[in-house]
Amino acid sequence: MSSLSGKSDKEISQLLDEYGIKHGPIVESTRKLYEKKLKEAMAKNTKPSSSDKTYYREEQEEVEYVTYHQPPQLTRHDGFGDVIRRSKITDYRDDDDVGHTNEPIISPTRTTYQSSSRPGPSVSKSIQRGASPETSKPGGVPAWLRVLVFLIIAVFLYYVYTCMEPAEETPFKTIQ
Amino acid sequence: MSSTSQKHKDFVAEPMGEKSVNALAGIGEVLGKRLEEKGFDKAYVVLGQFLVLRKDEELFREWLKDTCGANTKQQGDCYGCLREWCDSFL
Repeated sequence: MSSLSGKSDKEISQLLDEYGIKHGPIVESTRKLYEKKLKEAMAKNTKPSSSDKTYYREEQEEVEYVTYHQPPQLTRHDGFGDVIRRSKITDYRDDDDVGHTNEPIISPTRTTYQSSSRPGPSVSKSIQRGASPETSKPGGVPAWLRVLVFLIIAVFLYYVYTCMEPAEETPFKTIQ
Repeated sequence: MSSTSQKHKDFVAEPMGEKSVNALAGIGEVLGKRLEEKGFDKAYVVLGQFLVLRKDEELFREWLKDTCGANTKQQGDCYGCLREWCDSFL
């Protein structure tokens, strides 16, 4: 590993960014501090821009991945780690940038849902098949669930209404 | 609300002008001397360093520790003092 003190200020700055270290300008008085921080960071992880950096787990949902085996187009699918909720495969097959081949090799793989921009060997489109199979928009409550909840509330209110005392008699009965 | 020392109150009450580095909260005689040896003889020079470190607490604390060997409390006092001064005068 090349000596840090031999690097230019710009290189130090870039390295700090790679390790995700917040920093100010690299000036004479701050140089030593940043070199020290970089040394510590390098000792901790050998790989500066590890793919785990942007890796975070949003929800633990079962997602069925449809992998399209297309080697060259990696950079364009950087954001493909995000879940695209689709109800049907066929509708959105060639929707996005997968424009060249219409017959990709589809191999369904069941993995946990992860939202990350990790580069993988094959491009994968994720299909949300978890708890809500019938939903067609992301983040929406399923329709049948809404209707069901509404019915339950309606029945409950009706029941409460029928159980109410009739208001014909005067509630204030005088004791005679 | 943590209590601040009289030194802190005195420092943040007015522009620092040409005050010595010993006027900073948390910086006593020993630490002040070490800072002066490193070239930080006036409070405004330490302020300059504080600003160049983007007023970041962690960075400033670490720098202070490396430069003059301040302990956690001293680091905190100095950082708080400078931060509050900046809030009022910068």
